[in-house]
Amino acid sequence: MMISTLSFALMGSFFGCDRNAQGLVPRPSGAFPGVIEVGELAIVTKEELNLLNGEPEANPVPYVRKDNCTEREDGTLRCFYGQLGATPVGQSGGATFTFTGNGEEVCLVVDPETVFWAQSISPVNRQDEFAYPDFYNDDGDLDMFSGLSSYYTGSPGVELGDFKGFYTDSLGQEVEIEYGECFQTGAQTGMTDAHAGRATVEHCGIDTDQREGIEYTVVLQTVSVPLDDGVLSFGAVVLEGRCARLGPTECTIRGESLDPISGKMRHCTDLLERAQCEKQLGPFCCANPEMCGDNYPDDACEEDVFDIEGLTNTRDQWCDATGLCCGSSDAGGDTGE
Amino acid sequence: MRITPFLLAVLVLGCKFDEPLPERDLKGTVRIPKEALEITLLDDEGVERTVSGDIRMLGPVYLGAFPSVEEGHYAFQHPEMGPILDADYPGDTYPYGGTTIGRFDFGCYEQLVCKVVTGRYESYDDVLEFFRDVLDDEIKGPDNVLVGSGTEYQERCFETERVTSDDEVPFVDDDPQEDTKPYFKPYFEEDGDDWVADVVIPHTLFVEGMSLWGWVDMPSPKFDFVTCDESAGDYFYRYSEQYYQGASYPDVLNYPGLYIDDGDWVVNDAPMLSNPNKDFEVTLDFKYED
Repeated sequence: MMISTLSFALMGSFFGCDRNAQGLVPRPSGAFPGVIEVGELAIVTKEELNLLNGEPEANPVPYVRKDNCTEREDGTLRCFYGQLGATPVGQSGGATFTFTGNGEEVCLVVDPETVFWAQSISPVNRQDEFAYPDFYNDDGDLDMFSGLSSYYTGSPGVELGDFKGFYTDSLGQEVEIEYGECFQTGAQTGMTDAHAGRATVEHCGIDTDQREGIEYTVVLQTVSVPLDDGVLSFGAVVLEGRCARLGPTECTIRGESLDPISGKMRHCTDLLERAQCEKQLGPFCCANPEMCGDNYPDDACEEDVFDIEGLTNTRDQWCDATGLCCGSSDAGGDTGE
Repeated sequence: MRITPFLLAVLVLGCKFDEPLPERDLKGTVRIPKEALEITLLDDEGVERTVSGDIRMLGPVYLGAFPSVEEGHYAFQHPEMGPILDADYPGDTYPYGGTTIGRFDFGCYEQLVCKVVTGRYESYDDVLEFFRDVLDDEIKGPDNVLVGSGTEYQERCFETERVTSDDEVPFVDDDPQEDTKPYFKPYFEEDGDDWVADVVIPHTLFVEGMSLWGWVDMPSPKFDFVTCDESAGDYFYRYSEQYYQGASYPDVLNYPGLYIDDGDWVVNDAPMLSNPNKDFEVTLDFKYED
């Protein structure tokens, strides 16, 4: 009896256990290629930024909106909102676009898929705004690189490349040279090759001094594609001026999360972005739990979560006051804010 | 039964694995003519005077291994350069490796930022005497009071650097002949018409035919050094004393032409290496005059 039981256990250990993780990998889609070429983007001037802003007086901090992302008279795009599919395993995916140097400093901004935040789980001094978790499966990530088009090694729309070149010295030793100029600083001093994580905006400045009229290529390399629909939406813009002065944030490009079927802004994602920009994520998630993650703590939505300036509010009152509820007339794919 | 002693013997002997790494420790000597230590200093009133033969005047010697050395880039021989990527910079020399003979060290007082080099002083009194008698610039403490003795100086260093022995203070060394092989202390000794120091360029990519080249950063008439960045290095933070301790620029061997200035002595006849095990000799025999 003992021998039989041991034999069975031994056989079981040989077979082991396995888990099918296919659901964690987005499948390539014929409808959404993994590598796309956008074309040329204009360098958006301050005046144009106000135009894209829609209502500059009502929105003193400039930002770009999809429904105002128009073309110039010569057909050049002022900004781009697009979608990328997953690439087959082993292939690098992403988007490329170009811009022409104006002899001044420019600021490149890319923003993938709505927003991401880390849940505050500290038992003491919890930040209530982030007590509710983010919905992970709608997040994607793009890494941005840029340099002179003449140094770009990829084939736009076909294969992604980079800006690395090689110098061979007189003794035949090969040295890799980074020709890319889009440097993003990290948390550590001296780190200039940093990239933002999931769903977070990336930006870098490029000085086009003495390179007026010279073409630059920008590479947006896919790091992760959202699991919920297998399509990575993003927005990109080239702004006139220094990034340090413009201060691009998650709020600079709005409405970049697009529906894979209609191509329009996904339902209520504009309000999710607005809630984050207005530091209202806590009450927003309590009012619209379908827009945020699961596994939130029991006390994440206590009675005072909808208070405004010390005044007690119900959810409906808060919705009316802020316009940040998905059921309200402000929400929806086609509507703005 | 017979196998066991054999296995034991193998275990005792062990195995040796020779990694064919291309990096080697290159050993040799560096020579500087005594003539290099005739230096003109300028006091606060603009009066010139010449100091001769004091090795404490010597700044760091930078020594690098490069694919080749060429003429035509500057008024002195210079390593070959890669492509120019930035209009404000020359091409990178892409050195295979390098070292210094002496480096900038924090001398425990703000007045000494970027002015103290290792391997030049035997004691705290030696530093005090040099700044007082040679540079005519006595060392003052944070309260603007003159540092009275080597003991006071030592106490200050122990306190600010949180150390308990002189062995932990790199810029003083009362035993320069101490055996620290395979590496050598950054000390120069007189040898005929030259000052000579033993040196090791550690863990350097060895490529047959490469050249060893370098220069010594000589002080300006105000006893400043071009290769030291006063806004770099560790930050000194002690009550109201807050400043950077200074450090060499990190790219001196990549862009030597940016840092060599009037009065520096440069290698004019760079030796080419064909055998990494053979000692080299490098002579800084060309004075660059702007």
